[in-house]
Amino acid sequence: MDAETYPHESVRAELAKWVFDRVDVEGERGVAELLQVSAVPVAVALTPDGRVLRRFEGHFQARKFADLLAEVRSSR
Amino acid sequence: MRRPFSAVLNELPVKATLMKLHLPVLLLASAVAFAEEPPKPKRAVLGLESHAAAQEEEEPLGLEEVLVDRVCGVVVDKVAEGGAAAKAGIKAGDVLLQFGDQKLFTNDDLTDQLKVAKPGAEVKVRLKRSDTLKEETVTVTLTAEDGAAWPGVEWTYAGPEQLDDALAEAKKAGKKVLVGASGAET
Repeated sequence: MDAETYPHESVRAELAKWVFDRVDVEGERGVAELLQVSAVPVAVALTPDGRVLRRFEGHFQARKFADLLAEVRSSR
Repeated sequence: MRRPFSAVLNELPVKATLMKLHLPVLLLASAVAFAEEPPKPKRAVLGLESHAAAQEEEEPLGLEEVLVDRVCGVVVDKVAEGGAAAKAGIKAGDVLLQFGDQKLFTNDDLTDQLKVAKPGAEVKVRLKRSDTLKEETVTVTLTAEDGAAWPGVEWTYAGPEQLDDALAEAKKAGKKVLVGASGAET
């Protein structure tokens, strides 16, 4: 994900419409546990009040990932 | 009004009870750490993965090996799109021979140089092209570790406080929050 998906133009353009943070699973066990990160890579979409909207587990092809993010972003 | 992270925790269908027990300790620990240590300066990165051309990383250097011409070079395996190396025209397969004044024999030679380099610094990198087999020198502008290798995307490593800030920022901006977790291998 770090090498090909996140740096891809389509994903970067989509991420600009989100508040994006990364978790270092080794360094931040607390947040990793909170978000139920049991395997990486994973991305968790949250509403501003902390409700989990969707979990993206595993590797995603860049354009597919950007499309899915856009779908979740426009959902309620 | 900004809601405390603990209020958000109550609504999360996760290991909330466990977290509620740990959160004060976590916050206290991070507050203590924050009080004692100044913020870490961002590390400079080149935006590539590589391995040594010669398999002698485990061998200690003897005088002979210093005097004779050892196999020099670090082979580039992968270049991060939009990263410092990519912008300087470095490609997968190229062999990096020298970084600034330092000849490169092992990957450690390269990472040691990056540890002391500053983001934004311009460094001359001598390399051998895999396609033309010619030596060239390119100038690389090092980027900062935190996300600068992905133009247009800003992020920080999320701790409990950063996540709290991210939720508050999202509320203010009418956005949603995405938290990405990756291991070293991704």
